[in-house]
Amino acid sequence: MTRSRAFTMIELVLTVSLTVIVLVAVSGTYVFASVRLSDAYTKSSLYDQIGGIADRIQATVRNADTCATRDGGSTLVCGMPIDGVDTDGDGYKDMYYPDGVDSQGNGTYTIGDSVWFYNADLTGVYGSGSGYVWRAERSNSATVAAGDIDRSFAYYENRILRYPLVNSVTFTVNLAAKTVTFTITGSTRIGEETSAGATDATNSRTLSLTRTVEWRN
Amino acid sequence: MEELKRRGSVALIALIMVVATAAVALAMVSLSGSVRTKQIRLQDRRMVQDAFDGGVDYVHDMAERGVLRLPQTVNLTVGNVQESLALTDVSSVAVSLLGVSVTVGTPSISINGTLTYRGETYRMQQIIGRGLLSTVWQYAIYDDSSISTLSTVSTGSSGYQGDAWFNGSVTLLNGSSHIRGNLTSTGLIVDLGAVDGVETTNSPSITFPNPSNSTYSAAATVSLPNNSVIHGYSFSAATATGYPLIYCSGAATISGNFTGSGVIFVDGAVTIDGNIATSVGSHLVIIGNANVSLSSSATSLYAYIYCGGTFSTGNAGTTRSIIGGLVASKITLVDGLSSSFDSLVVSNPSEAYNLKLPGVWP
Repeated sequence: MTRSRAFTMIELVLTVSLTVIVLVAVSGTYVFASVRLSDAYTKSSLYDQIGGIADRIQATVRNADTCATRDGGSTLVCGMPIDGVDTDGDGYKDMYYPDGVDSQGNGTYTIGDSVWFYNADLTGVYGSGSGYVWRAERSNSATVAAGDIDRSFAYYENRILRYPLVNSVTFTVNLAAKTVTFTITGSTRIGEETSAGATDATNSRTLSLTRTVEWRN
Repeated sequence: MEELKRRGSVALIALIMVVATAAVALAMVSLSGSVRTKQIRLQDRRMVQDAFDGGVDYVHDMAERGVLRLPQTVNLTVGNVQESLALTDVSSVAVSLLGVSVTVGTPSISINGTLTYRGETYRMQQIIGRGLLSTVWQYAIYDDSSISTLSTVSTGSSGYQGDAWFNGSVTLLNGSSHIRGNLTSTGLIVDLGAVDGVETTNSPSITFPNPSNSTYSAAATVSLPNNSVIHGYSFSAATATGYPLIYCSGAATISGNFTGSGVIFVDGAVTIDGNIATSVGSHLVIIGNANVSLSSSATSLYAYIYCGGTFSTGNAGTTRSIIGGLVASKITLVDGLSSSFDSLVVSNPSEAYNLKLPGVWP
């Protein structure tokens, strides 16, 4: 009677096989879900970072007196009004007001600082390469130097990159319409489908945003 | 017993994996929801910012058309965003820009916007140039009626000093007429003379003020009876309520030299029987609720003149000159009229209030 309760070989193999199948299925689902979660999080970050830069460029252009491109459209230089206040405490003016009026009472704005958006490498030095988007501001129209980099734009707590997923920005200026059209591109490789010897490029996580903004009239 | 334990262990591992997968799935759902909410909020914020920019452009347009009154609240809808824009004159007072106090020092308007979109309230702020003020007191000649005349009509220099505005059609048949600023009409314009500035037809109207005699009477520093004659006067200094006010309860005859700034309110017909002059830096305002007529010897008038009835020149064979401004319900000319606007009340709105200009004061 005691021996009759033992497993047969077939029972054992069947049990082990079913267990392995269940474990593989559950593990696969877990890995898949984890990757998707990570992918979703990264895409969300990418969206936030591109949107964040777009909002900063838009706010700058909307307040600018004039805008021009350099370096074939990879750099934007905006002349900002001389009078304004820093309302967010980052050390740079962000709300401007007129310093005069014309004969019809419309506000007039003398150009003060120039704000640059440009592509550069990880150092942020203008002309150093590409791969990241930077902002710099200086009190005259000369080319920006390393000391002019807006570190509060580029970093959290002056050390953690704020927009690491954003790769490039390009600009087009329409002087007649007083508009700036910019395209920001960012990407991440997380979640990309790959197989041995090939990459599924159609699933690469690249996002571009194009926006047209009118500057101050 | 050993096999049972093993089977139990396998089941436990499977259970843990199922729970972990479920947790990851729940996290995904939660993350997806929060990301979506965040994106919607960002999009809403951008939508509201764009709507506010549209509202600011609307105020710009009002300022350029000269239909602003300050302070004023402008309510409008841009897309699905409800906007309430509170406009205040911050030309010479400190203003708080999101908590940072600043004195702009130029003629400016602060726009404080309260915007509502999908149940959320947003507050935004911007400062722009003040533009043209929307009172009738920004023209060399403001006529609340149509005009058709063979007499010459001329205005001062370009800009404020030379603008003329007519509520109705304009027919200036004298080729010597010369509007040196903008000529604006709510109707059509036929002008055989010259217009240096912009000629605008079918313009939106501006409200013609109707001053209350009881309000002016209550504020009077001097009260005079009907048929008073005021041949010059020396006004005392301004007080917290503005410049001194002489109130006539009936018709009055006015001319002469005036010292200091002040106001004469006449609740009846006004006859100007000679020239009017003011001391340097002083300004005189004559407010007539009825007709204002110029005798033949009244050729040079330094005053802001408001006429609630008909302003008429009579026939002296010479051009009548006004330095200040003329605001009339109707203008009837026999002699030529030349008017040059004194822009004091535009460049310094508080003076318009102190001088108790109808439509500005009280």
